Amino acid sequence: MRRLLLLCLAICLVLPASAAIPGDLDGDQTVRSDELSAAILTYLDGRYQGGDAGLTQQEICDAAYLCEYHDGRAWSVTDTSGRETVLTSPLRRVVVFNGETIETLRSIGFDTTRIVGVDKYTSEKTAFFPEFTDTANVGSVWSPDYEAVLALRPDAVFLYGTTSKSSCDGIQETLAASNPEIRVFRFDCYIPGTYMQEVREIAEITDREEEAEAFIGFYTSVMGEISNKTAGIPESERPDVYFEYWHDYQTVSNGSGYDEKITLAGGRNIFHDESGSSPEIDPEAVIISNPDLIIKLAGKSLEFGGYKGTEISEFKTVYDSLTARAGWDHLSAIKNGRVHLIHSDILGGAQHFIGTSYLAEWCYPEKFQDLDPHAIHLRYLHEFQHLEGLTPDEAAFTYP
Amino acid sequence: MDTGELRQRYAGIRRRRILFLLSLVGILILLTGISVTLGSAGLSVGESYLAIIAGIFPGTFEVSDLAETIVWDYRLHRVVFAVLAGFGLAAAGTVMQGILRNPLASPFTLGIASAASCGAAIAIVLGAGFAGGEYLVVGNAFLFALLAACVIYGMSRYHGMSSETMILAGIALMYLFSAVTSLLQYFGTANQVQEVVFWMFGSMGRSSWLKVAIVGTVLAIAVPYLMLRAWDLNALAEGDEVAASLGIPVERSMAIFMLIASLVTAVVICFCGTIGFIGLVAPHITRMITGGDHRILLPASGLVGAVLLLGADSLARTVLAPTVIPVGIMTAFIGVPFFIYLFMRRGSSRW
Repeated sequence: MRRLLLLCLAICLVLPASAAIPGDLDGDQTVRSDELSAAILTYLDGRYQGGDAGLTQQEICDAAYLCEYHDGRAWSVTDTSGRETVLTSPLRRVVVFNGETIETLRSIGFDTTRIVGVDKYTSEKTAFFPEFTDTANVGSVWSPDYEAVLALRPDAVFLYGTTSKSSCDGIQETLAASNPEIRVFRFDCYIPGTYMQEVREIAEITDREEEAEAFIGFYTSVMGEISNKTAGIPESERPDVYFEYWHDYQTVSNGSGYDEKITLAGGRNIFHDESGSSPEIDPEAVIISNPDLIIKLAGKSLEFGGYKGTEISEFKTVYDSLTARAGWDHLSAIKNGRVHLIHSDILGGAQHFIGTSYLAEWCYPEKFQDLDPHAIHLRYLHEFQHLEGLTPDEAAFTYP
Repeated sequence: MDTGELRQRYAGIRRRRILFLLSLVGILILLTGISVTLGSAGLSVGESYLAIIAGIFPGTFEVSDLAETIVWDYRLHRVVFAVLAGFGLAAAGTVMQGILRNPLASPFTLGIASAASCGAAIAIVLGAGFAGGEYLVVGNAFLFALLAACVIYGMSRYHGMSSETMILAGIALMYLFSAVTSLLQYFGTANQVQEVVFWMFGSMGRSSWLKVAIVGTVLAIAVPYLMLRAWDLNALAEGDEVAASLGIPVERSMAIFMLIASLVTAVVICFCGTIGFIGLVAPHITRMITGGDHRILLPASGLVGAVLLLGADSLARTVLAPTVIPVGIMTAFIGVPFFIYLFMRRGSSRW
């Protein structure tokens, strides 16, 4: 009697913790192929001969999926927020709130027709995300359209992992309250330090491990080569870099993604130690620090160049205004012609490795003679983003 | 108390006021003198001054090219611009508070600043505006600020020119323009939104000699005119009936004063963003010390505004150097405690 009680207690404790496995008749948390066969027969019997069909068609599909890919068991994945999710079915209707994750899903060959809702910034980027022009727009993480999300009946929603944390936490809570069936995943997909781990986790969620390994191989071959060649260079021999946002005299410091990329490329950001991640800087300080290399994120709110590819001539205007700044003719970067513009499309986001290879090339032109950032860029677009028709001009992303 | 005693007392007040004015001028000169030596370039005090002199009289001193560039191309116009902008905003605030007889009247509460922000946001997000190229944002901000002033004037004209109508109309406009700005930010890209926010922070970093010349010219015309009509301002500040009984054309004068104050405000904030607080607080601080006579109040509050803005900008440049803190934030940090201190010391009486 006591043993029975203990067993009941144990079952009570275990059961709610793990999701139910479709087709699991004997309650061992596994759907074996004989159980699947039985379930299919019962279903067919019910469907065409009249009688109790047992599982729904969807549940049969899920059971078959589990048998095929996960030995009939549920599988679990931990996202960047540290939350573990138990999955018992594949992702069929996905809403994604961050374009970086959409790009990553594309890199690992996820079937993008399953993405039924995208954020407003993604739907505006028609050149880079042509397949989502008619996909439902669910707003942004700062102003999500919950009705649109729920009307799409998603089975999974992707949000930022650490960026805009409070907004994303709010969305996650609201969705959990309105429909606990929706699986929420949190990934950033743009931070070099965590990106590869995130790719692996997203691949586990979507069962695209093989394609993910190919992409990881490509990414690490680029980033690995850069860090191999720059790792041993002592601090004193690294070039001093002044990095400027599109906003004049706004720079980056410790804590900013751009600062991290300068360091990865082997440069030494002269304003690394300033407070705030993107401080406005006294123009005098730039002149006095006399940087070896000046890099500016293409100007005018980034309204030109990039994948939109418009007004490429503006690059020259911005470049000329930089070299013409009072007193800048004294700077060694200007004297040696080491001033470059780069568009944020390839330096922020999931494509940071392309921009980082440009930075590396600019920091050490001799060391990285063989590095061809534009070729890396094109290979990424064609082979991993499957944008065969998109062959942008290098002049839309960097100058000179 | 006989007349002699009264005269003596009045002479005493007059002396104190003039002393106050002179000490303000002294403080401003001192502060200017200090702030031209401040900067991340680490030039010594001597080098800074030699560079200034060498710029005015070429060939008198040997200074490095670098020092001259830094002082003349980066530092000096910023300092002069802060002085002019502070003076202009404070003088405009004084006029508005005076003629509207309301302690809350300022370019901010009258919607002029938010109209300027709205114009800037339209230029940044939609790329549309009245001027082209570099002056797109500036031109839009300026025209929208004037537009707001005209709308307030038109509305109160239509409904009779009482100060309450003007302030209510101004506050209503402020909400409308803020709403348009928010809407634009909602539709703008993340970068455009950031640009709009930056613009609204306000910064002296956008100054240049050309901008100094433009603001200087406007002030050189507006301030003497306002000083000439200081008595009219005094009368208007006592009430429409008082002013009318003194033979002042109330509505026309109010319109002209409003227009001048708006113009001065617009020309300043279109260049440096919305540094609103000066226009509200500098007149109050000054009025607590000098009283409400515009002959002294107007220049004194202009000087207080100049001291406040220059002080704030100098601190903004130095406390976390080479990082520059947005000047709007610094102005509030300095001005508000000082304002509250004066307020508490003075106790409750007429504003």
